[in-house]
Amino acid sequence: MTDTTASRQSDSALRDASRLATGVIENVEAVIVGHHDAIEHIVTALLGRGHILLEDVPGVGKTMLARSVAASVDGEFKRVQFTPDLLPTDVTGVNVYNQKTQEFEFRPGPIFANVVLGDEINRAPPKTQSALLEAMEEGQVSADGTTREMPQPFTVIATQNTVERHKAYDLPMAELDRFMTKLRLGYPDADEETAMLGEVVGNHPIDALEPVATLAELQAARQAVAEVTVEEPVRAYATRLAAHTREHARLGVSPRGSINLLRAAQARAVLSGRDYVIPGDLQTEAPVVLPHRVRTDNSDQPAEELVAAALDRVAVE
Amino acid sequence: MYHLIDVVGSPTRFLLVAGVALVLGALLARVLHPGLATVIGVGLFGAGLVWYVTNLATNPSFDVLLADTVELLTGRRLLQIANVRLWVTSFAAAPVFLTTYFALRRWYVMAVFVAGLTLSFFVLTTDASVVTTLLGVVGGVAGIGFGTLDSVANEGRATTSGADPPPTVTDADDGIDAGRRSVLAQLAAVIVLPTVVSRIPGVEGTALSLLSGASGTVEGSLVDAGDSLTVQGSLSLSDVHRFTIEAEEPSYWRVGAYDRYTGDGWVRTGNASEYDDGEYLGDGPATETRKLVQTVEVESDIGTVPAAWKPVRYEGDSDVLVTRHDGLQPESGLESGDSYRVESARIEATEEDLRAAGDDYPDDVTGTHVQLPESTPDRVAATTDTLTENAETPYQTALIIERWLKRNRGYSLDVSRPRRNVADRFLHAMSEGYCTYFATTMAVMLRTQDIPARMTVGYTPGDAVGSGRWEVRGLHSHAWVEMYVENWGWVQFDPTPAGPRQAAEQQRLDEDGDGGTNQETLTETGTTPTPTPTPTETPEPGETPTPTPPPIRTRPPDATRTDERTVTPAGTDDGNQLPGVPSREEAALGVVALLGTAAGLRRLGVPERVSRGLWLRYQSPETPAEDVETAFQRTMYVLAERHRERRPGETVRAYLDAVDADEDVRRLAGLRERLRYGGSVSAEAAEEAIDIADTVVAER
Repeated sequence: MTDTTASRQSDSALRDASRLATGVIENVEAVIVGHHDAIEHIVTALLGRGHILLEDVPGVGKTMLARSVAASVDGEFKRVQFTPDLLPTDVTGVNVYNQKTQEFEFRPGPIFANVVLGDEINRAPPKTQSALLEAMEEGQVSADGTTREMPQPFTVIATQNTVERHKAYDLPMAELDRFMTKLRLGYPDADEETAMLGEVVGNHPIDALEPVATLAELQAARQAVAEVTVEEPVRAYATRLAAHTREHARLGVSPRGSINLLRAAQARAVLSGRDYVIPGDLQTEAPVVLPHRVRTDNSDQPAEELVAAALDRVAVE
Repeated sequence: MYHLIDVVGSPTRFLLVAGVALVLGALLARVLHPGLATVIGVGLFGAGLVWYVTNLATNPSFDVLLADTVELLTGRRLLQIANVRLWVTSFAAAPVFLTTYFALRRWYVMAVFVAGLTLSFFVLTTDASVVTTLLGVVGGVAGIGFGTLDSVANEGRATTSGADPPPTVTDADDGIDAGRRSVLAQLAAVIVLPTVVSRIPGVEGTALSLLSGASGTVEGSLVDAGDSLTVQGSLSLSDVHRFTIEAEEPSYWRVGAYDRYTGDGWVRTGNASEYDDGEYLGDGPATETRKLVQTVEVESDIGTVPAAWKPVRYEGDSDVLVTRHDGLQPESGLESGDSYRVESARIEATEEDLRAAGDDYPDDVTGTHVQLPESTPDRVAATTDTLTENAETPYQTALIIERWLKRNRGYSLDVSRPRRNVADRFLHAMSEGYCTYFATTMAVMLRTQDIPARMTVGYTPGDAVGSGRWEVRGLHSHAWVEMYVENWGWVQFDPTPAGPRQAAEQQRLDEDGDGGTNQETLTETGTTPTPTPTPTETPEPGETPTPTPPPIRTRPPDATRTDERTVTPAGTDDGNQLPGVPSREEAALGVVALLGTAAGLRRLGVPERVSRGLWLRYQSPETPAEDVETAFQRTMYVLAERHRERRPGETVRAYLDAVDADEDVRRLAGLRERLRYGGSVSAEAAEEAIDIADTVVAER
């Protein structure tokens, strides 16, 4: 094992990144009761330069979770409520004619922010969705022939409603693929719900939430995560996992999916204070990174099951 | 399995018939309908039967034939049929044809069935030896096993021959390879297991045993041999008192003769016919005979009727049969206390008469009595030619051979049985043997000179007790030779050196310390001139016409090849003790057994286990990275043994949690994790890893 793929980074950068992640998690947990795993996944996606899709029934705290994560970072936070009549320019921004200067000037849409919360993204028509998704993937926005760079860091946390499907435009696979993780929150436990109710009847704790990280710190943490070592056995394991899904489903995990899996695993390694990825990291992240990229042969079989089977059967070495 | 025909010689015609059947089967396999082929096979069989019956010299009735067949199926040896050559030639075609036909049509089971049917016939007639049978069975199993696999492979290829992906084919091939290996392993088991079972102490000598008893008694191997006699290895002498005989003069008490030499033994051909008490049997060709009356009291159960040659009249307690060779044979055994009286006509020929006899033999004598197996090496005849080139008549030839054997071969009961042609080995490789070897060799040598000769077994005169009374014991059993002399009939020769044999017999008696009387009497017999019970063996001084065998103590000039071995009758450290080269069947079986054992071991994973055991225990330091990995794998192996294997999708950490591993192991796993996924490991860490692994393995 002499070839190291990523250069060794200083321990301090790694420690800082680890501390940041832990800080954000603790901060969010001050607001959100339960959902510890989901919070960790969101933080790993945040550090792994990915976007997050939260999918569940209304009222389980999707938006609250996204907001608290955004509030934990001292950056610009915007929120877009997607509706059936939302236009692409409502998201990306529009050129307006300035009477004073007699020129068109660009008025940036809500997407120009460090953390963007896209609420109920599946309510908007595909055209509007794609405007958001271009920004997510390319890190840039095209309007009237001009391409504008997004600010860094840039993370989209989108939520998606699973009820009232007939009133929604389901995201196409190609666009789902661009989210690093897709999470389901689920209902809290009875105990957790009771505790949560106790907290929120008075002042909602989110109002008191303070940022625990600056944008620069977040950027540095992201950099540290990107330099986490991913050795050949781990890469090979990721490849085997993807191959397994491709063999057993109509549509398997794309190379982009594998990349995202490794990035999430890198962040997960940092979360554990390691500067190298172990297969266990992949196994932790795979259930939220892979399923939404898989379309099974049989509609009765959920993609989650297939991914779980892949984790069970593909040999770890 | 057909090469037993070799015994009766000149297999050309047989080979021709078999070859034609083979070619016919091969050709017709492509075109002929199976049903029709079966009909043809049965037809061939029928034709062979008709041909055999019509060509028989005698014209037996149908029920005789039927009875013969039943006898064959209940253990009578095929070689006892007088005209084996005709028999085999007649019946070879059908099985060969059918077997070839079915095999080429890939009906392996049918082919093996036909072949197995034939083989079982030979087994029932006891003509197939254990090795041959084993080879046949192994061949049959192999035929079915590999044949079925072959069919499967063909079908596999046929079905996947289209546009199918190559992986399927290789999968199928892999499966078939595995199948072949397993068939091979089973074959080895078929060969090895019975052998091993035979070696287990309790089993040896029971019906399960494949190994014939290591040593028997001379008597058991000779006198009780029944219709066929196999030359044995080491033998001992038994001193059981067999019978007491009263006669005017001592004689070799003859029990039976064997006419067909098979290379490793003798077979008596022909059927015995019934005999009525007191019926007079012919004197034979001899014109001048002397009557010798013997009265025999049986002292312990025997299955024979010992009598001096040539018996002409019998009266006794139990019924007897007369063999084709004018010998007497009890219908059932004789019991202790039985007695009988035999009248024998002894040839009254002078030395000159015998010497003068020519070589004009009757047809019924020459038949089986000059026949030798085709496999008899030519050097037997060559050596005999050289020895006897000065002899002018058959009788002189016999005298020369007899004396040469007496002088040049030692007497010993402790010999290892030659694997092939006994006579050839005794003549060219061995330095000592006992009466069976001497007699066999002399008979074979005579036959190479076209002189009718046969192997005769019986008892020597025994211990004289009083006048005209002899006690015969098991240890007096003996084998000698009878040679047919023109106009006189069968004349006895004994090529075994008499002195050493009697010494051996006496030693046997001394060992038991049976009492003074016995020893005394034995000493008496030892000094009486018993080696010449018949007038054929006249004392040596009168041998002027045969100058070739030089006076005593000089070696025969012509027997160069055997010179070194001629001197020491007692020496056992000669080349003859080396194990012989195994026969072809044994070699083939050995190869199959070896291959199969290897395949079986591989199937059982023995090599892997051995190397794993070594690997587990001894780790030699390499690079730190390799050290850590090896140490980790060793530990995991122990954990897998102790708890369970790590599942494929299970990470090491999850596994260690699941099996509740201790701190050291976790530490080792951490080192390895860092090495494998973090790409760094130090030399100290490697040492630590090895230490942990050693501890874990030691705790195992």
